[in-house]
Amino acid sequence: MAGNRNFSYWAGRIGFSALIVLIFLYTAFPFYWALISALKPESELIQTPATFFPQTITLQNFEAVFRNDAFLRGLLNSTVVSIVVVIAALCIGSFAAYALGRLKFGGKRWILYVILSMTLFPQISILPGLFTLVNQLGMYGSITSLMTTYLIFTLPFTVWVLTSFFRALPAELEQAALVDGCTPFQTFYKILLPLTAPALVTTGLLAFIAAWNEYLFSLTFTLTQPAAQTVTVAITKFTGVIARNEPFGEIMAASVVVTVPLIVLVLVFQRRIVQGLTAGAVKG
Amino acid sequence: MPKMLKFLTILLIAAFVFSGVFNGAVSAQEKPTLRVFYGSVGDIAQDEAILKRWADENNVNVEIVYASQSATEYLAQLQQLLAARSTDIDLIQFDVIWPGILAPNMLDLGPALEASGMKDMFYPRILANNTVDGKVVGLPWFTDAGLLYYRTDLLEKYGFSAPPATWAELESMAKTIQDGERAAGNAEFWGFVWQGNAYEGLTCDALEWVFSNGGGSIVEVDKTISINNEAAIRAIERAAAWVGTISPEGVTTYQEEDARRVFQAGNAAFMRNWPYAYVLGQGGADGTQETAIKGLFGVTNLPAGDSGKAAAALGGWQLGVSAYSANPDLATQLALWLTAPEQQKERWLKLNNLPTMPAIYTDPDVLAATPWVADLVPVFENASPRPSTVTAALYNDVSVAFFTAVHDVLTKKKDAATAFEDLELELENLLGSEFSVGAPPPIE
Amino acid sequence: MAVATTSSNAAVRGGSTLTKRQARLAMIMLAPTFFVLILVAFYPLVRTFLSSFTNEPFANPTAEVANVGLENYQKLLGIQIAPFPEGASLRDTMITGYRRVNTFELFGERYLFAAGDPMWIQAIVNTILFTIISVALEFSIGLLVALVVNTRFRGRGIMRAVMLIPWAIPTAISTVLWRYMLNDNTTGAMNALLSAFGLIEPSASIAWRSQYPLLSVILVDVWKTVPFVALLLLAGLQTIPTDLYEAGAVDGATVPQRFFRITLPLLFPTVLIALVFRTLDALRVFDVFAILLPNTTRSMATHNYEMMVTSYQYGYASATGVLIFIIIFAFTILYMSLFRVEVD
Repeated sequence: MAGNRNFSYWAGRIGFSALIVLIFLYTAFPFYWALISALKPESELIQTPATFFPQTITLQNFEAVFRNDAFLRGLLNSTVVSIVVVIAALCIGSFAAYALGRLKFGGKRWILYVILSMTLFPQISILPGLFTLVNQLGMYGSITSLMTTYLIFTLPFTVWVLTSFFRALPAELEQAALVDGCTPFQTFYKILLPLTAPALVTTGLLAFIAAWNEYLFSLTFTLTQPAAQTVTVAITKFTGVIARNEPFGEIMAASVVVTVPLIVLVLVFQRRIVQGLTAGAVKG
Repeated sequence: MPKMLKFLTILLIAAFVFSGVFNGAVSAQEKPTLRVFYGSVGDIAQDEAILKRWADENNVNVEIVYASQSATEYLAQLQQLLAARSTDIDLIQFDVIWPGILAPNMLDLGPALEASGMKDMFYPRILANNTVDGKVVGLPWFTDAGLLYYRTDLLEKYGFSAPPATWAELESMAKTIQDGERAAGNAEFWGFVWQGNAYEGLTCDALEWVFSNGGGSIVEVDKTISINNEAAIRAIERAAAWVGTISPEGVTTYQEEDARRVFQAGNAAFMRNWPYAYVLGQGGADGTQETAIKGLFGVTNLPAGDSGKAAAALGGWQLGVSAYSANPDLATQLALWLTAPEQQKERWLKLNNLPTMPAIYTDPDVLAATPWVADLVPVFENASPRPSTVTAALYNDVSVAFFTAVHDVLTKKKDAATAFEDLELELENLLGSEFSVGAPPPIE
Repeated sequence: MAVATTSSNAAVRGGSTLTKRQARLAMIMLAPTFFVLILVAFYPLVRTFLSSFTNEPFANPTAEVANVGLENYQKLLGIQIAPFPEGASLRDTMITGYRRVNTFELFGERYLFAAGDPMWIQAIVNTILFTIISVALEFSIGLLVALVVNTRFRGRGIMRAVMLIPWAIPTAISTVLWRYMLNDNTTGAMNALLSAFGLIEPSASIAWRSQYPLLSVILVDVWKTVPFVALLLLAGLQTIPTDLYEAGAVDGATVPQRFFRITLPLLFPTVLIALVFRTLDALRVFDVFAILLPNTTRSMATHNYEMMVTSYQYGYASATGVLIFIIIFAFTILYMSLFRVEVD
């Protein structure tokens, strides 16, 4: 009996470890492939069969990427735009989410639907209208245009996710606060907002990545102003030394460089995401 | 938490202010500024150096705006800017198939070209292609034409003395070499690679097959929709039979770079591609990169079809001036300077952009540096334009309909006769009553 | 959203003044959201909607624009099935402007199947198949990943970061990477892996993108989006109090029982939000189709894009956009009613 349990215990352990390894390979292998593609010279990149470990390592792709001013400028622009968009979406969105999740008033369903419906159109079909709007607001060719328009897809998402988190919080806390004489607004920012911190971090992270990855708006609204372009646009403009040549190795080097800050970001916020455990425990 | 909120608000405001600083960094300058709208020109550093020379000589600021690498997006962006009458761009690089579409928004460079004395120096076909209703929309900057790449070492190994002169020869040579190389151990060797993805490149490839077999050029200059004919149908069916036999199954997703990578890795005997692949196959602009085929391949004109004539699709880029430019005269001067023989020669030697003037190909420096282009002069001279000038603004739709039909045949969704019957009807609806169905003109 | 607690209102039974105050506060707090959405979304959406009834061209403000009523929609939705005997003329049988989808035999008679825009019909089919399969896979794999990284083990922090890599690489770039990985010879990682494990001969390499176009995009999209689903589900898992599990364990519930009786019901609201947003995104899929597949395999959004930037038919493209909106909205309503979601 005991041996039996031992067996199943170890089988479970091994199975679980195998699962972790599998997930690790599944998510990380393509990134590894990008990395080694960036390190290979073109002759090795196109040979059959492909090598799983580069035989010749060259840094020329990375050098080319770091010599590219437009790319570096793009990194800076992307960072600024994404941070502003996330902060704006979280500030504005958490207000709305508190109202929708905690306060009592009519028509909530419709408000949520209206907010959601903003994201139902494909980006491309609202683009011409948005282009006109951006021009009229005098924002064409500036990163302000991106900070504003990116809210179209980050804000509704933020509102919806945060609303559900606000709803999930226990009512007792709020009651206690009200009994203590707090106004609803004070209850919001003194008690409920700190409790949703892990949700804010998670939502913020997802919004950040969505903004970081955006391509079509950035391409359209900053076309003639290379100084305002984001990194995704900068990468797609990589040209080889010969016209028509697609420098695959350089594009891969750039994609590695673009991804690393996000991985660092996730590692930094690791503890925050973990804090969700304690926040959940408060609920009881 | 309130503190945090305040902090965030301040951060937000600060970021907006900063962003203003970021974009608004236009300093007051005495010099006029010209902005050139470029696509893919090759080595950016070399290109900028050339522009800077002119800018310094003329005391002008020249800024380059690099457009998207995708031709479709490039044109859409350009159209959007021109529609907004943007003064942000002055000089525009554009594709050989766009003069018809861009004509209304471009300056007529005819008078300036006349005055410069360069008019008779260009290839007449390209200049004619750039002329819409008598208006010179752009100056030919560099050209392109479809070529056949072949492996000299393999031809010799299998006892062939010359590259194939006809498509039938190409088929049998490709088959022999492919079988031989596979038996010799290269399991992934193919006879012939080309561009079979459903995109503009397929329009070029398929036009070459159709035209060289006497099947016309889809829509003729006299507004005849000629595509639904026996010769064209046979030509496409022949190409469809290559897929999975002498060409890989995946060739129906190949673009230029996919084909080049297979050929350059030494995994194909023949390739249809543009001249750029030559330079890369020989080790890049400076010839220092290692490649599997360095010194082992040659280029020639594409094989002839039943008509007995070969065909090469005309590609290349032009320079035009936006009608909304604030400095049209300066921009025109720059266009003339960039397309002048000296600069074209320099671009060829440094950037591998093919000249648009026949005289440059016989220049001693050019012959010494790149002897292989000398034989190709007739190819560039006779390259067939796609039906873009006659269909003008509707060219995109015509091309999409054509390559979709061809792609359907290549992927065996339809037979060629059905595909072209459908295509003919679609083109009729698309182009309207000014166009009529007819037979392709005989090849002279 | 069906959330277990709807009790915030319990605290405010204090009277109507309090309720009014709450309603006023709610309006104030919602104001910024509405301000932003009206500023950036209202005009473009209305413009798209209105132009869908016209023949307005793209990027040509001087062109004359005529009102064409429902013509764009009629073309998008129109199909024709007509007897088409051997020898009949296609030109005379088919409605002008339509295109043949195919010709088929039924009870010994030949029929013509044509549509106003066959590519659009095909795009709808492609997109819905893509959505159903990829969202289902994303949820299965995403839930598994979330459960794994919610467990304590050494290296969990790194694992949570690694898990997010696919989502962190911009789609425009990761799809270029995958296009290379899906090459039709062993330069592509997929064929190289298969042949390294001896599953295929190198000469029989799979031409993924031409032989299995839909599978290729699903593969890439699932890889790309699992992190998003997993992260949302992980956040949901963490709001489930651990003592519930402890109580379950004390009651002698097995691991699967605990999963189905405690985890899944409590996770449901999060699952639903993730599901809604993933479905909406999948129905609007663009980048993966645009970069990975040739023109002939289109999604609804890439068709919309082609109509705008290749054919320059802004009015027609807008109508496509409106139809996509309607299709997506129908899906949303379907979800909401299927799962009896209570938003209020």
